[in-house]
Amino acid sequence: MTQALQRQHRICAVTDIAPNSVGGKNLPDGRRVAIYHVDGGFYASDDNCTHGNASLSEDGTLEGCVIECGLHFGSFDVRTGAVLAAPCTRPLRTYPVQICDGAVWLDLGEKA
Amino acid sequence: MYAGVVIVGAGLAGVSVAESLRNSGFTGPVALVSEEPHAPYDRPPLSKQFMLNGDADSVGIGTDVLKQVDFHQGERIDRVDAVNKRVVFASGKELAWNKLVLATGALPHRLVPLEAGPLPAFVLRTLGDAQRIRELLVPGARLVMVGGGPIGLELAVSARKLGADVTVVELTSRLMGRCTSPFLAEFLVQHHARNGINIRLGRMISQVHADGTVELDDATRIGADLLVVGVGVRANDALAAQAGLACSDGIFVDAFGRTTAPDVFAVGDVTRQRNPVSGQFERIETWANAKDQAISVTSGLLDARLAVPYTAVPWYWSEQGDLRIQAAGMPIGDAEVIRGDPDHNRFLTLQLRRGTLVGVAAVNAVRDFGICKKLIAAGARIDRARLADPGTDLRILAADAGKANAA
Repeated sequence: MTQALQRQHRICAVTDIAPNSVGGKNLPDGRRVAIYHVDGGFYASDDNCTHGNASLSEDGTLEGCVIECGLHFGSFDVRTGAVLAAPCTRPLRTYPVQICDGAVWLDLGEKA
Repeated sequence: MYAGVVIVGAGLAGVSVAESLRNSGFTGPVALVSEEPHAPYDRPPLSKQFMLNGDADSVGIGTDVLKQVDFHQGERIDRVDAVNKRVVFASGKELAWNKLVLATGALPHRLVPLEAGPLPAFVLRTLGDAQRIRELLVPGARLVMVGGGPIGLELAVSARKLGADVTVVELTSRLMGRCTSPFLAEFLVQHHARNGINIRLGRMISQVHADGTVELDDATRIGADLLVVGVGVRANDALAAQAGLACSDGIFVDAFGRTTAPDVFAVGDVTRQRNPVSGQFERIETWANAKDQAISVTSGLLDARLAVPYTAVPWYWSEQGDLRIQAAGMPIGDAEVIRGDPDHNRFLTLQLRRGTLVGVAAVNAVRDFGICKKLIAAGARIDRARLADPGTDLRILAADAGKANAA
């Protein structure tokens, strides 16, 4: 399994994020990501709203798979990053997530 | 016969009606008419992000729905015939409708003598306005902003970032006078003055000299290269008034967006509606109202049985440099509570009226703002001492208020 996870980044323990909640975590390059624990699964996205200057993990409200930004009340689907409500217009960048050894691993892709 | 919906105005409210119609599965004809030469765009960024980056593409809205409606760009409607159910364009063309939605917005007050003077003078309402102002905001340009409301202050901050010198001339004794409490207004004066904005309260321009020098009514003179006037708006309700709809600086609508003419609805800035917090009929000139009222009204537009009354608590945001301001409900009550730390630009001002929370303004306190906005909507009675106690967790206060309301 470690082979498959080599380009992945261990972001936190699964126990760090309570069910039906969201938490903010830092990537090695300083960017911040939001980790969502919903529907018995984990999802990850950039933590900054694509519209305003707000942190989704700190200022947002998670309801089901919808994260609503507290600044202007736009919202996204945490599973896909798709915009669900204005004023947001650009989708949220999401990251593939794997759970292994009790930890949440993110695939940061080539850009990372 | 155009057996569909005609929407007049393609600002946020008009576009939101079109989107809601299509999202609800309506496949009948929808015409969206805009007299502006641009595709629909979002206005809040005009004084902020757009003023800084000039990227017109980034402010577009409704790009998907435009492909699903009959979009009339740059066309003006001259007359609404509410009896025979048609609109008449300036070109003479006519469209018939089953349902008409007026989303004609608001028009900025203008100061005509300034526009006739020696300095370039603008209002800031449209993308075209923003583009023209932006061209002149080069480093070292001297901007005199007439009006210390949210748009004026946002533009002032953007102009500073662009390297301009900025003076804000406000006729009344405080900034954002119509939409904040004196505490926040005074905080803003201090904050913006520290950031190099020259603020002149209780002053007006008495004349503009031929060399472009602006003279205030206390005889001070300010060198200027351009003037921007941001002193409020009036409803763009002439079409409605001419059609015989009840208007008074705004089209009167009920909670379903219905005007006084059958099958004619109105949404957004142009409406005069009952503010659920104040109880008064008001124009609610906010982005959130334009969107949420439009969505709510559309629910009952085609089938009154599906109508849901619109009772959202009015709220707005304003971003002024480092300050993320959010406000909901009424600007002033009969008692004010301050929570948080104004010295570190992070606090709430809370307005109580007879023991009920009726207003909040938050500066960089996003999470608390959301809690307070819900408390206002619930009409919950709040213990003032607990609210004022910095040790009180607002979430617990909200939960207790919820229980008390349910009991």
